[in-house]
Amino acid sequence: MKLLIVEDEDALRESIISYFTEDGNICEYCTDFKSACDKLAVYEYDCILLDLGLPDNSGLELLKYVKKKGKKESVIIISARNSLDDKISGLNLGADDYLAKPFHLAELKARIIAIHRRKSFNGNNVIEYGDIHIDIGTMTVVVNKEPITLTKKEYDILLYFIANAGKVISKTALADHLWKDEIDLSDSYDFIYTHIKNLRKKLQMHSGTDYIKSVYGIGYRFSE
Amino acid sequence: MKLAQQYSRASIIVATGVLIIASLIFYMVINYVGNAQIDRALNEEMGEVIHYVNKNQQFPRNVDFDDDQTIIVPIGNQSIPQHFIDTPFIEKGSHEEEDGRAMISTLRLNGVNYSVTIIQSKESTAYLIGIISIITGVLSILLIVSIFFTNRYILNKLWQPFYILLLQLKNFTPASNIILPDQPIKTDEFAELREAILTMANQVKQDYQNVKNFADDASHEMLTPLAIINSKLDTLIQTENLTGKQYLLLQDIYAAITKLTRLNQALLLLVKIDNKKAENKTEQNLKQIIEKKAEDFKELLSMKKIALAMQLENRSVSIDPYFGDILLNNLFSNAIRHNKDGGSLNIILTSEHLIFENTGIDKALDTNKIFNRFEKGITSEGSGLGLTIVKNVCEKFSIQISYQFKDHLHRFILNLPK
Repeated sequence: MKLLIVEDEDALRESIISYFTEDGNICEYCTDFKSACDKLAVYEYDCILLDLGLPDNSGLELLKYVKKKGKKESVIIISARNSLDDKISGLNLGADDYLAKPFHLAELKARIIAIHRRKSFNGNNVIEYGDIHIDIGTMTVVVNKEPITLTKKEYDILLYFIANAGKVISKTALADHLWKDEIDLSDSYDFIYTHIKNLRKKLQMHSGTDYIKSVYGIGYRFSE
Repeated sequence: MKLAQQYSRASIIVATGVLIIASLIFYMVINYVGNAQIDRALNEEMGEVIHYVNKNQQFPRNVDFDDDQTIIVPIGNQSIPQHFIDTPFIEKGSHEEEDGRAMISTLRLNGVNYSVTIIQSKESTAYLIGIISIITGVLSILLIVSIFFTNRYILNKLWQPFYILLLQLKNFTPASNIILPDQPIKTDEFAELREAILTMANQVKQDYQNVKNFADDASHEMLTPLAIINSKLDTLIQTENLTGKQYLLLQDIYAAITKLTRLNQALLLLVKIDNKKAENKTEQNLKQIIEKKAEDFKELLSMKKIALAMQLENRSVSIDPYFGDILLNNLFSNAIRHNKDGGSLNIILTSEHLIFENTGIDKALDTNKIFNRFEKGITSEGSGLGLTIVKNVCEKFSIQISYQFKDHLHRFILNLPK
């Protein structure tokens, strides 16, 4: 995937770039409206990561520009203005998703991949990872040619894991993804543990690989 | 007591007092004038009698005087000085006593002293006083009644701007506007008062807005550093060769960051509830929303083995859907978060109330503090703002919320608006 990251906060941008380039994605960046326009005029990207809070407050302007030029890029807004109005106007202007700061990189990646997948294959496609086949359209999971039944949360976790395959995923990020702030942190870790245990069991039933590895104290890693 | 009433009472008491004293003086003066007039007449009569006696050397016969009665009594060598007295007067051929006035004098005839008493009826004076009293009385009553009504009318009218201003002050919140009375205020004092109130209100609003903006800005400014910390942690845990001990430390940092993030979001939400006008109201079917929320929370409920019982009537309320969602989310998560394993949660929706009842610690919470900011259970990992948010949303949409602890259940009762 080729990403354009429009973010003026160096530290955050570097983290995002390092997280995404490790998987072989190409990341370019710029920090203001003008250089973003210059880049967009010359190159094509799969996805634009757009911080609404640019110094000259031009995040939304850039979004309008992208839409006006009829560019195909998906746009994900990341914003520190965690306000509903921003979200609504962003989505109304044609952004594909909205992520409020602070967020986990795993969450950002899962969202970008979901949008990319939806756009590039018209929302009807199959994800393959090892011997796992997932049909996004019908939400069915087949492991080693054997269909398995997952609960909604287990399915969610599996997609999240595959999007962030190979990475260590903190249980905090996972809890955030699954419940937002609806439950106490300490409770949510127990719940996650239960879900993961079940998912692991179901996957292992037909697969020779144990995909989900526990990383002591911090979370999990999903890999072959 | 109201100002108009007090003023009215005082002025009526004073007026009545003055009228009573004035009437007394008036009476005395008329009486005095009347007496003086009769005395003059008596004096004249006496003069005539004396003149007659001196001229004819004999007393006139009584019949010579029409309205008067003359009594002549020999008193020997005694001498009575001439004086006037009040005495009863009985008209001839009648037995009724009337007020009368008499002049007594001594007259000497043929070497003998006689006391001459001439009595005259005071009836005409009394009649006059009577009429004057009636007139005075009627006038006094008229005066007092008119004072009463004038006071009431004028005072009420004069103080009208004051009451309008007072009402606005009573209803004043930093978020509201002071609405000026339509007609200009004629009374200088009240015009000044209004100016003072306006200045004060604007100042309060400005300060309040500043504080709010500060909270808003500060919370927003914190989001980017939080995002950086989060992303750095996410990057850090990808590093090879971290030990278990280091992972545990990182996990603690994650947990703290998450808490901070939630706190921050709750603060932002509180500011937003305050700032946002409650204009985006639409009829929301509470029953449907609750049923949907119950579905969302089903998993959490089952994990804590909480038995959910719902008795829902069809009831709609007019509320901003966004805030309605927040309200129910917070009520649900509060009831689950502070519940115990194997506990229960009852949700009752009637046309008047929405009640959330849940088990939890077997002790009533402090009703005064429960909705306060950062008031939270010892074991709670929440922000301590959940119920404050609930309360603020309720206030925004005129829903009254109260808390009870009854039959081992914590009950949150929302009185739904009509």
